[in-house]
Amino acid sequence: MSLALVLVTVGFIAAAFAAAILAGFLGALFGIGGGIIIVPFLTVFMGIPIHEGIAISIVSVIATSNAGGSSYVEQRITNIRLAMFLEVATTAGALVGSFIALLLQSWELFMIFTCLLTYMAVISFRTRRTDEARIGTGEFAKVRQDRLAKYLDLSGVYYDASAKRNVQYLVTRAPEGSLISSVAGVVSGLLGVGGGIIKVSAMNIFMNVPMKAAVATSKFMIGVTAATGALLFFLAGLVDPYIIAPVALGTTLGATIGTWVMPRVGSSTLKAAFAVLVAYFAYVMLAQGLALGFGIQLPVIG
Amino acid sequence: MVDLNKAMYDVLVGGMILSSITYLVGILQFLIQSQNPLQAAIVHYQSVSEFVTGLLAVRSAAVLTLATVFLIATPIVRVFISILVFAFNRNFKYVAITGVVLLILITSIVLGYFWHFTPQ
Repeated sequence: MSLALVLVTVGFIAAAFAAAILAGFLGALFGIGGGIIIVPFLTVFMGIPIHEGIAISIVSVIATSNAGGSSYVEQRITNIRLAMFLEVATTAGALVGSFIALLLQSWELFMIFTCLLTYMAVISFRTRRTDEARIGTGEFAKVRQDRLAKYLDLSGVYYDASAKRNVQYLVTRAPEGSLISSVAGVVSGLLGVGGGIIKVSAMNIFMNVPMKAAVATSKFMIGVTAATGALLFFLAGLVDPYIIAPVALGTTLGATIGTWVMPRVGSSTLKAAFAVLVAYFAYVMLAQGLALGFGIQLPVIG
Repeated sequence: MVDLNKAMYDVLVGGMILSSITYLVGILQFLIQSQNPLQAAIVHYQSVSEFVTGLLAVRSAAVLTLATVFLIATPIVRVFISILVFAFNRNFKYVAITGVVLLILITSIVLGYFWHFTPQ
């Protein structure tokens, strides 16, 4: 191999590794998969075909969920029972979403998701300070549990490193939260992304789960949601081993760093940044919907 | 009682370490073999025997593919192990819940595979 080729190869591995570290870091911080960074990076900057880019991305979601999920489990921020309960909805939703994607290219669905995400972005931003206030007053533990949440013992507790106290919480509106999580599953089936953003919002906005516990629990769940898609892409031969290697290693490292940072950031900062991210997702969905339905091209990276 | 937290941690960290080390070995092997990355052997294995032959010859593509297998298997193994932990702890509500998750996963994989469906 010539020196130039060695440099190109090493350069490619290094660039993919660096982008993946960023994706893994943000993914751990917000409880998402990080496909929103990996896919544009691979397709726009590396010139990889979109199908392979998505395939690599969805496999890397598992890498970040293994690394991030395990760290949050070790720090006991993850609510494992809640995760198991919501996984029923997300995996079923993903199955349904896959078939919707097979049957139609629906711009209406993108518009519905745009509305849902816009709503979630606005609510997250407006309630960005309430988490810290409610942690201070212990209010997360003072709501009424619904019957399902009580029956399944979905309540939880975690140590908040920035508030420096144990935070107890009860879960409300378990059926509604589960319904919204199934939407997250449908999105991931449709678009090949983890749907972490909807899971975090469902738990935090609707189910009375503190932001950090929601992020950790989502991080734990997305590996399972992504597993089906990842395996199918893999069996179809779309996962290039030479690209996934640096990407998986990078997201693993980035997620590990992210899980150290997240508990130490204040909930209001975390939620404000999360709201911006959700708003961006809403914009991407809008762009997709307009492109599919009306042929209108909005500027989007990727 | 088996500590569910510890069991889940062990499975996830185990999968993470196993796949990461295998990826590292594959990358090193690739750099040592000094292959031209543009013609880097077979990327997609058509059959299991082809893959095993590649592994035995320690070809980088085969080693990296094995790492991806470890990676994708981890969340599925995680669901399976959690059923065992819930069963051992006699928490049958959650045996049922997690069992449903595993069933849906298997259904999705089987349907997807036979319909030759890959997500968008």
